[in-house]
Amino acid sequence: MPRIFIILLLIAATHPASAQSNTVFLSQGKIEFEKTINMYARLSADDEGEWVDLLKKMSSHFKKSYYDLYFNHNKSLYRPGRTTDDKDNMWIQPPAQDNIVYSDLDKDQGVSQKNVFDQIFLVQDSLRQIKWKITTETRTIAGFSCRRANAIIMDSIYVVAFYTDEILTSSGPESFTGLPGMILGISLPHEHISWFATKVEAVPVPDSQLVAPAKGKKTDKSGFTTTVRQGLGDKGKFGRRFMQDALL
Amino acid sequence: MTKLTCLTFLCLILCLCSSISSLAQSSRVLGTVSDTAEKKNLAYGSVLLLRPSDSILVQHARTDGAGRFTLNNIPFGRYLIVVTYPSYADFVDELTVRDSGTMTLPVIGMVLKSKLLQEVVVSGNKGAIRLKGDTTEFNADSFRTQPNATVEDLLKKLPGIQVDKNGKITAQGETVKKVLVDGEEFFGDDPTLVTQNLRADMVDKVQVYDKKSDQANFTGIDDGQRDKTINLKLKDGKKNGYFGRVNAGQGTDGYYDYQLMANYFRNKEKLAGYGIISNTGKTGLSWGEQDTYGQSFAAGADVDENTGNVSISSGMAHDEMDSWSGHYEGQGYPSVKTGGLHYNNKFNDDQQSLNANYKYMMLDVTGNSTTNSQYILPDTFYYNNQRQAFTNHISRNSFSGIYEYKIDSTSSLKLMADGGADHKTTNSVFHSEALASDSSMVNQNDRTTSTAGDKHSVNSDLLWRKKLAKKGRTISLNIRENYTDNRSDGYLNSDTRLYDKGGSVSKDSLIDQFKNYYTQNLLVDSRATYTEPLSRSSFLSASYGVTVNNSRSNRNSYNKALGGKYSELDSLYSNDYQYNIFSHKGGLTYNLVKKKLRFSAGNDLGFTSWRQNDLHADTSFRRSFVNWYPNASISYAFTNMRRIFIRYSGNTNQPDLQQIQPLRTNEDPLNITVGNPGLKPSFSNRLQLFYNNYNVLADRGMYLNLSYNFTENAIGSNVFVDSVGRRVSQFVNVDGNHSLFGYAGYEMRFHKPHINLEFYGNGSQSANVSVVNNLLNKTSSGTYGIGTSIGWAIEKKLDLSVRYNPTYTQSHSTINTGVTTHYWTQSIQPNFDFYFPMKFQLHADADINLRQKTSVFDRNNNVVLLNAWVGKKFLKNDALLLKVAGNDLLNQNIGFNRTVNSNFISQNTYTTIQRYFMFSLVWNFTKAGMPAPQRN
Repeated sequence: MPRIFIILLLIAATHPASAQSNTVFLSQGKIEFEKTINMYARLSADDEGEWVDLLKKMSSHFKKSYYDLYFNHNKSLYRPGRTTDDKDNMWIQPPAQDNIVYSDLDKDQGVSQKNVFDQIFLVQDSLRQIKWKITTETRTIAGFSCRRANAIIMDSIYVVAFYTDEILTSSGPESFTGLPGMILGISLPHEHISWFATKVEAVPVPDSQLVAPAKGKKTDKSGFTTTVRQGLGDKGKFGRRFMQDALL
Repeated sequence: MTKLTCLTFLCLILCLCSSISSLAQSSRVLGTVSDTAEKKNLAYGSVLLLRPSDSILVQHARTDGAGRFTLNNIPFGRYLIVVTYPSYADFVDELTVRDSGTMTLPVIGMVLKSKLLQEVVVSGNKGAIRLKGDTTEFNADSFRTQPNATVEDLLKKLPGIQVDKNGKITAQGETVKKVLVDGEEFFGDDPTLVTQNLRADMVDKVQVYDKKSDQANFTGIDDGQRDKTINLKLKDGKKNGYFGRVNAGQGTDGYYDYQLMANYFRNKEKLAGYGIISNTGKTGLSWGEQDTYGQSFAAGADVDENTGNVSISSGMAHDEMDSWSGHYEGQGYPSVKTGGLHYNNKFNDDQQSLNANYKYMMLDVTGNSTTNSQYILPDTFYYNNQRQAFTNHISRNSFSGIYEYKIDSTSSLKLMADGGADHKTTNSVFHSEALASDSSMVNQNDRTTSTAGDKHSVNSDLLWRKKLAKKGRTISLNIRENYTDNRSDGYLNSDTRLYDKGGSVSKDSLIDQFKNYYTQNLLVDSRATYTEPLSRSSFLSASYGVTVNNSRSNRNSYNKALGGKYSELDSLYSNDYQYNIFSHKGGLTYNLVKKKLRFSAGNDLGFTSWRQNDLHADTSFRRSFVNWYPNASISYAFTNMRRIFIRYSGNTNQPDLQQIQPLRTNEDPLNITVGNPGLKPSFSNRLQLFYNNYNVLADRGMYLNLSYNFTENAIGSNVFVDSVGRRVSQFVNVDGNHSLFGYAGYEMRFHKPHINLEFYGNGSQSANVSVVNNLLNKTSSGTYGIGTSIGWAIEKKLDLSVRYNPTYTQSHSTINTGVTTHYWTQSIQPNFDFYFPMKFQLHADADINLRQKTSVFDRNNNVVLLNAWVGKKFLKNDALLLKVAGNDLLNQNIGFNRTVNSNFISQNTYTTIQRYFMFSLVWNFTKAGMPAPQRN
């Protein structure tokens, strides 16, 4: 009850601000992200030759999938959104396509439900700590002015993020958080994966909609990493690629 | 109680935190953000504290409703404070925190951004530029850059493109919104974070064009907005080099094995070749070598646009000379000289691709074989023992190729062709004898046969496909052609002696014949298919096609005339026959493709007319049939790795020319086969079930495969065995043939220690109907086996595995229930590899076959085949291997084959390569991954 009161206050407070400088600060809403995987580039990076050409024929160049991120002040929930007509190919289907990620930003706690080759894990741990490097580059995503920040995660994965300070919740897609605002664009250029917001809806998001996932084998980050490394680490280039996808 | 402990715990943490912060000496920073012009404090502004050395975010806060912010626990040090607010210019200032306690900053004043007019510079286009439609394309190599130059450096050199200090790119006067690399957005790498940067010399072409807005692409409605976009096309991998393998082996007993394989590649171009001179069984490339040193099997694969199903056709002629293992799998001692060349390349941005292969082979095979058989008759049975010595030679030239052309984004063309010319000679000497059930002699035969012949073949397959405007609507046309001709001459010399009850020769007949054969076959098959989507996940395919299949067989036998010339035609064993089939076939198939469920069902209906001309008898007759080709399949994915697939397919099979030609063949005068021009097509039904469940993370899998076949009008045999053991067999249609096959397996892997376990079981049960001495006979036979294998590995130390597989076989025939056959065979296959220091390796494997004796197979056929080698690796990357190998150390190897069908049970043993020792050298050479020389 007090929380709703605070939110109402916040909304009330944003209105005069918007009247002054045409700025609406969102503290709750829904963002749709389009995740794009450059399948051809990934296949070519892993191997080459006629078998890779055949795998390319079995896949579209860019595999697109959609996710919804619900946020309300200090909590957010990222989960699969609308489906596409894409023909899924079981052999080159990357993991992490059904991830559900709940983040409690104030408590620094996250709960991720991850499906890795039909095995469902519930990873409960603190949020990923990312050392963001703020830049002066800006771009507009889904109508919001965003600022670029770069980082390295998991020792070697280069991340380019675009966040907006017009959204008060410091969250983002998957487990990317920690910037002064909402991340509306993420690219992992060398992994050929990106998430970009296609639309931001200023809809009320009640707490009942921000519920952490509960299904799956309970574990923490290090336990999950150990299991995935053991299961996929010895399965060649594709296995290593899948392992990285699962650990993102 | 718990609440209390929680509280104390919290207090403890708070104390700890404060002590840490006091230890690290931190401070609290307060401030206010305000619009200086409007004199209004700004709420929800972002305040960022950055490390000045690398702009890493240390902490951030939002201003409250009154524009105030608080940054807590800031360690002492120098910072950049950045305040951002939508539509306002960023505020940046240096901040040094050196006093503990609270530090209050002066009011931070923000200024609204003012729009700056951009100076538009348009410069004339000069230099190596191509215009492709709306796209301006620059050839990157035409513009000289320094080694290790960045992409920005390259762009700066291109006419009409400017790059400013902040990295902003202007092309033809417009700001470039997006830079793409091979169609994917390029953000530019931060050199302080990433070491692998995109270099200018990796770029092949720079394309500048106006891209429709993402919205227009998304909705399909062109809003007229265009974004100036640069696409960087990268060079193809920048790879060239070569690799290969040399194998030189010289052994005892005249054995040798010399192999050379090489692969040269430059970007997408591949040239490969091999040569093999060997008499150790190696006669060609194995499956794996084929992929590297020949045409990859993936080159012949096709993906169905609508279902995503993959079909692989090798595009190469296959017969007994080609095997997956690359080893000779027939009887006797092979000696080969063979070589092949492969070339493939892609042209015009991969729109066209070409695969071409040439192969030459000369193979000589000599050997002996023994066949022990039992013929089961209604009232009795015979034993038949035959020995054969043979010398065969084949020389072959063959080619194959695949050409693919992606005409545009909607249509493609694929042409596959192959052909070859064989010259083959065979010489065999036979001795056979038949014994009655009481072991008394019934007949004996001695004969020699020889043939020399030439065979030619040309096959082609053309496929054109087009996607129409509506998603899922496609049209395709397929035309296929197969041509073969085979001409050969031969001699048959035979002496057959029949014995009477008293054991003396009752009849002695001689054959001395010259034979010439000519067969020719031409098949032209065409098919047009149209696919119409019914919904997002279902579609209907309609197809229609015409097939012409004309064949002719002219087989003549000549007896010696008085002058000693073979000029007297023996009409009993001669015939010239034409068998022409014309059919047109149409069908409908419904397909449902959902994420988990796939279903398809359909039927083709064929109208077939046959024309059979007997050119010797000058008779001709026509028949016509209506053929059905029903099929249905359903597959369900419980999860990605747990699937079930069930399929039914019905198929009409036309008898082949050899079965239908009214010709008696007397190559074995005691075993004559006769064709039957009255044969009808057979109709086979097949029901299959596959289930698999694989747990990727735990490395456990289960597989199940069941199939059931039953055939109506199956082509079987009508056998008549007379009292002196002469067997005449004619092809006839029979009903009641069916077979059941099942396999189930479970495998698991453990990581610590590395152990693989596998268990499987398989079984088959079949019934074959035939006519034996005018009585209907049904032979029921079954084979049931179980198997297990275990493997243990310690990396770089040892690999051990052993497989054990016992099998039980039984068979009985209705015509003589007194005779049953049943026996066990067991196979044990251990395999050892030990890796010693100094790069020494010891390998040993064995194939232990234990075969139970039966009344027919009364000799001991247990074989222990033991092979071993010891080797040492040398050079960098272990490129050189010297080894000494011993093949069949116990000198026990024999070729072995048991067959049970109809009323005929036989065991065939033959000579095969036995003990020898070989010293060999294997060198893997490589020169790869070198960047192409820079073109200037």
